[in-house]
Amino acid sequence: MREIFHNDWMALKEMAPFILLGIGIMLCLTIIMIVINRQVSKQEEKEAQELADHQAHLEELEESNNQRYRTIYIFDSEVRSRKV
Amino acid sequence: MKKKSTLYYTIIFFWGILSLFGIVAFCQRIQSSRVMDNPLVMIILVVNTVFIVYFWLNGTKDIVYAIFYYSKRKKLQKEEEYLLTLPLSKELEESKVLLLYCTCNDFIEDSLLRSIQQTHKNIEVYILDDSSNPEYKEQIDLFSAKHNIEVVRREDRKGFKAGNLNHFLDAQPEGSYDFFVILDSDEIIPEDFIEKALHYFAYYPNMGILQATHISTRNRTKFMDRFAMGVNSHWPTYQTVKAHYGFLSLLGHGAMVSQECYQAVGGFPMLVAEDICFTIEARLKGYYTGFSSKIVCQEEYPVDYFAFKKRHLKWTGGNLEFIKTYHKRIFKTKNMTWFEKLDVILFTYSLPLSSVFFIFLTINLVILPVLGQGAGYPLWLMTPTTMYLLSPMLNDFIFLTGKKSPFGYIRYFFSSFCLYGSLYWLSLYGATKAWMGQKPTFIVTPKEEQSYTLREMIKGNRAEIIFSCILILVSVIFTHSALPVVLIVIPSLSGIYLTSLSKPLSEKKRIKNTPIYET
Repeated sequence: MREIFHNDWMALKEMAPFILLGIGIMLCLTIIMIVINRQVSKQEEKEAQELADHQAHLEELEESNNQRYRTIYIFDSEVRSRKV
Repeated sequence: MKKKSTLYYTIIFFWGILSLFGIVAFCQRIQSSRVMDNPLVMIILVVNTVFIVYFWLNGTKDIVYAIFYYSKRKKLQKEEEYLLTLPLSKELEESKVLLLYCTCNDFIEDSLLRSIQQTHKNIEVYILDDSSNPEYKEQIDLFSAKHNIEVVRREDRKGFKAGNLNHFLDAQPEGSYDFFVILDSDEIIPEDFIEKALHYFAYYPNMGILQATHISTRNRTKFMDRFAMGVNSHWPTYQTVKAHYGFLSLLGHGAMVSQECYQAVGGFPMLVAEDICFTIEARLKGYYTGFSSKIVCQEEYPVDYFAFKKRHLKWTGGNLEFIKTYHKRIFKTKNMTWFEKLDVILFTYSLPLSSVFFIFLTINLVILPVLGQGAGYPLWLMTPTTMYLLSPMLNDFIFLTGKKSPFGYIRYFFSSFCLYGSLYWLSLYGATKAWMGQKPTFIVTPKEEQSYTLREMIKGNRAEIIFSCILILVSVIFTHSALPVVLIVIPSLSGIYLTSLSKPLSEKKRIKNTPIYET
């Protein structure tokens, strides 16, 4: 039993650099993919933020237009009522 | 809908280069010993090399799938976002959709109640009840009376889920509906499921099936909590890539099928893996399966390790039955591209091939040592072997970064390795039974949590424990080493630990992990 463990341990030691190389390659690949994924996510967030800002700006413009229209309408009605 | 072959060209390119090195190593192995003198050893070594090369092909597939998804995700999602903005024709807007809730002694009232709240108005809901348990039947009848939903039952359970669906759909008059949605008992579809799904059918005229993505929710046990993340990472990556570069199958639930496609196929094939069989039939008739990552449905992860094993056994038998029934037609048909066929092979053959892998194990553990030959391959082969052992987890590695603590991350990967590795005995058992002609049965995955005593845990995992002991013994006797089987034995012995995760989650963690309860 002891001999088997010893032999296995020696074989494992021999294989270790190649196993570690495999783990290392996978780790590098994972890190590269995580970086790519984060960049895409950041870009998506940026685009979503830009879209939200644009939407808010449009709403603001619409509101200011409505306000202006309301002012003109009130002014116009007042002028008309005075004429009458 | 058009598919591209770039993914499979990439897989074959990298795999081809690696295989060349492997074949060179094989030739060196032959030259270094007197193998040529013994034709039996020669044949065995060729078979051995074929196994290794096939294992590499599967590993390359997993790596390239993840790379393709994360590098093309944005482009593919943009297309989906665009098609969802397009206006629908009046005909599609008013189309009639049937919601078919399939249940068999596993009715979940809350799931159905949430699924029927649809923004699309022209819907009809039916409960297709195959239950035999009077308690469930009564529960369903009460629900049906309360919500005015029709229940459809049949005399027998012929054809399992496929038979249940066919029994109802075949009784519908022609043209009485346009689409139907398949719901499993634990399924929760979002309220805009149909509304969004119709856009996909409008955009892809040759699409017959739309499969929506899924996340795992309502985790009640430690087992569910530990592994449910795997569902959330697997669905978008693999199904998105399959939809554009491979063969995407209907996955049995959370999917919408057009009446036209159903009629063309002539019903669900009465087999255990009715979903993939139906998809193949539809594809042979010219209908594609689309995938939506923008429609997110909810499902439950198997409640404990025993439920997980039952589901795995069903999949193994079902896949083999599918291969037996369809392999000739798949190889012969000109309606499918070569890469779609290869995709089907790589994904569906892996489970039943477990019994073939046993031959590989026997060759290396018994036959070669008896013939006085070691495998004798160079040590550098350990590098791709290690890589490909880890490759199925690459997608999880990427997906979970930042979502779990370092400790949680390590615990998840160790547990996943044990969970999937522990299934080897079950795959072997299921596949061998099916190869020997025993018909698989549709086992409904148990949904109710249970606690187990140590005795029950040992009893439920005794086959794996005995199998591991025999493997170790054989390995030590013939090779004087335990190393060749260590990656099978460790996970196989972890069954007791995995079963112990059936304990319920604390209420605090349950609420934290379960968005459904918060809504």
